[in-house]
Amino acid sequence: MSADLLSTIDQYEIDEAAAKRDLENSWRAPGGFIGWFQEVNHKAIGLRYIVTAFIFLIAGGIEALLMRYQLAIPDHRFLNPNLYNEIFTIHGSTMMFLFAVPVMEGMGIYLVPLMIGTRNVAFPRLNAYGYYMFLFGGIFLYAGIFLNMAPDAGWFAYTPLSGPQFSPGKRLDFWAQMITFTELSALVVAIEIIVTVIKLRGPGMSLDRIPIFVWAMLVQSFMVVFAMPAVMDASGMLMMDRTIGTHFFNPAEGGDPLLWQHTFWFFGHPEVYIIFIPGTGMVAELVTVFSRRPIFGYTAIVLSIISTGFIGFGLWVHHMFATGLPQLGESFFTAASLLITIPTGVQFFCWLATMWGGRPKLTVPFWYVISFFIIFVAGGLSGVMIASVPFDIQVHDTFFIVAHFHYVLIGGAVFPLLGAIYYWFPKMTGRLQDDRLGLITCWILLIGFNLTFFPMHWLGLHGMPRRVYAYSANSGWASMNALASIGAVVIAVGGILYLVNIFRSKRDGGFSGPNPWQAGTLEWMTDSPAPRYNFLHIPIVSGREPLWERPSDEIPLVIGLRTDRREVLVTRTLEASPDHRYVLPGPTIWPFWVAVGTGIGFTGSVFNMWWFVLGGFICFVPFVGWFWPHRNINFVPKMEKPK
Amino acid sequence: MTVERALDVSNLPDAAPGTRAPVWWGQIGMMLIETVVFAIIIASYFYIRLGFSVWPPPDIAPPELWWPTANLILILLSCIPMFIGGKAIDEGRIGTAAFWLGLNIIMALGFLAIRIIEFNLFNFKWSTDVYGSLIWILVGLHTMHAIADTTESIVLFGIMVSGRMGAKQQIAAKLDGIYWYWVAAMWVVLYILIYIYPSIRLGML
Repeated sequence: MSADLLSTIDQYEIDEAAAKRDLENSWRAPGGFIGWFQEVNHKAIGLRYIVTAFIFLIAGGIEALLMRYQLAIPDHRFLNPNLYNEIFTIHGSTMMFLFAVPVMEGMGIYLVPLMIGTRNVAFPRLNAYGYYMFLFGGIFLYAGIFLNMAPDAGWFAYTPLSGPQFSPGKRLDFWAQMITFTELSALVVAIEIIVTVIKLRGPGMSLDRIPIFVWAMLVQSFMVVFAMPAVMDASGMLMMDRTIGTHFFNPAEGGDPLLWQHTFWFFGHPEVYIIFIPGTGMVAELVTVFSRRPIFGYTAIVLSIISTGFIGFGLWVHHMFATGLPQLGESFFTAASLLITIPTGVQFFCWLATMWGGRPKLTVPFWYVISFFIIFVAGGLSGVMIASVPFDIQVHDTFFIVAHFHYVLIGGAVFPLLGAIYYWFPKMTGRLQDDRLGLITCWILLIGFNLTFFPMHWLGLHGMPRRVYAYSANSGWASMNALASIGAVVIAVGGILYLVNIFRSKRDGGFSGPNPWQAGTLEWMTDSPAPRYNFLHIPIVSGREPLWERPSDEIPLVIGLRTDRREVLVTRTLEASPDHRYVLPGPTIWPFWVAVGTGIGFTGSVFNMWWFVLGGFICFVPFVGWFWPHRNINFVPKMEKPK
Repeated sequence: MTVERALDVSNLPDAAPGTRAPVWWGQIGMMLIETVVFAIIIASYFYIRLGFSVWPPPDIAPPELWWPTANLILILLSCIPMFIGGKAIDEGRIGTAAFWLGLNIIMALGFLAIRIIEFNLFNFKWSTDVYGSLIWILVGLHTMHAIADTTESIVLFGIMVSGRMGAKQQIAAKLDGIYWYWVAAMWVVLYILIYIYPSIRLGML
């Protein structure tokens, strides 16, 4: 339909300086202190997600060190039982809700538009709103700590323990509302990424040319759409049970505490894959680049990621084997838990085949990938073990489980993430990191990790339960606990070195140039750091690794997009053929004020549910400000029917 | 700089309706999320129901059907002006669209007024027992959505009569309509669950 509106031009002369000047002007950052709250650029917002998530990682790490110090020797009286409960609850909640998910979202928000060849995400203002919700949720939980209202019922807050009867006070309300904040943010990002990937890909980037990391973010986003509502329902019902006297989880009035476990784990298990799938996407990118060949089995990998997304929803009950389920249910969820190893296995073999067929270059990011292989396979194997009901019941609530999920989450997500940040750091800052320090850091982290968590398998098999604040000297657990605590210190040293490398390199690392790794995907075509408009001209994509097919200055380009306003090219969903031009909104403070209104509503409703209604009214004014058109147009084009 | 090959897109339109517009997909995504929110609560309803031999629990009075049924018909009818208004907006007739949107708003406000009567017809509170909790959360959540979309319609009406309609607001007006159809369709499901299902169990229908 639009073919007659397009024309192909050979040998086109571009006034680069003029285009640059116009784009700099129309995409410029809002200035000053107020400008910080008006920012809508995906790179700025993405970076905020990543930095904020790392601050929470440090907080969660400090909590972990406190626990390891407490458990380092038997009968230690460093933390009292209540404080220990609070610390492990906040540690888990921080790592899951304030670090792992947001940091992956931040990477997606930052990288997806660059990797698919567009200038910003589809809804820049909504994107800013999502960040503020995440930030407020985190501040809210930590404010609770200082108000002596820290939650203490574990990161999954099982009812009836977390209900009004056994957890009076406001501790659990702070936890439940933190969930509402952060999940709202996750849902916002999911919509951002889905629509950006569906509609804003560079022309020619058909479905089979989308980089695997972008595929991973797309599948992850769909999982968020189907999983996060469950936990929002759950936390909302818990809040109502606690504040206005509903009975969802109260068996005395017909409710069922197990309903909490079902709704929570219906989110909680997909959550694992929500964290892990972006990790596999990162691994796929790193393996491709450093094996110096296109990935082996692209289609198989993409289909594996998609099927992981589906099967991930059929596993939640394996967290509940100890609750006394019907035999058939147990068998079904055991089978599903074993089934999910197949798509993961397919991906592993594709990565191995890529390395086998390429010339692997042992760079620092690649060492992180190797660490991922070692750790994640070990975590996957213990996962297969606990998929079996008799074994699971034996080790349920012991340190074996703690070991298992740290192997899969840190191995499956954090190591790829650290490698990915090292890899994309030049694109974010224009600087290279110190390779020697990077390599040492990776080894310290790998050794420290195994030192900390491998002994926990042994502890679990020897009966040490999780969530106990102390153990006696004659239990025989002292030496392994001491080892784990030493390992925790080693991890902390590795973490500090990682940050030192980042801060040092950001200041005086060598300049990287546009493409320091000779990678093939689009983000390496533009300058480092990427300009605010990402690409001077939107590239036309002719393959999976466009920069490996021809030098970046010979890539065909899109011309005719207006540079005097924030215009992007919308393409068709499947084949990414150009469809229409689209103006993205510019900086505005309204999303911040809507977030403040939402925040007042959520925060107030911890104390009185009417605040929730009040928050809705407060949001109304900034919402209208957000959407009210500023120009007096009063003209709408006659729309043709979509064909 | 010389480019070997370039694609000139300057003649492409700078807005497009329906599935071609990014915001259409955004709206569908948000509606998908809301649908999952309801689906999880409906699943919880049936999960809780498994633990009961008598459903609804004995102390719950049989549902009143007259007002709720009238209200269901009202919200379904209110989709008609929304649809006609959507047609008008496609054809660029803003005045006509504003008229039909206004009619929809009046009907939506009527729906919300009768909703208050519906709440009053329940002989139980959310705190009576788990059945009360489930019904109140379902109806309450649906009411929140109906209020939200009515508010959106009012703002759009304001934009129309103040003469600020542009291509983006045109798409927004269509999406407001799609959202209202969703609110109505969701109420059909909830109406069956809240009024018809217990009536059948109690032998009233």
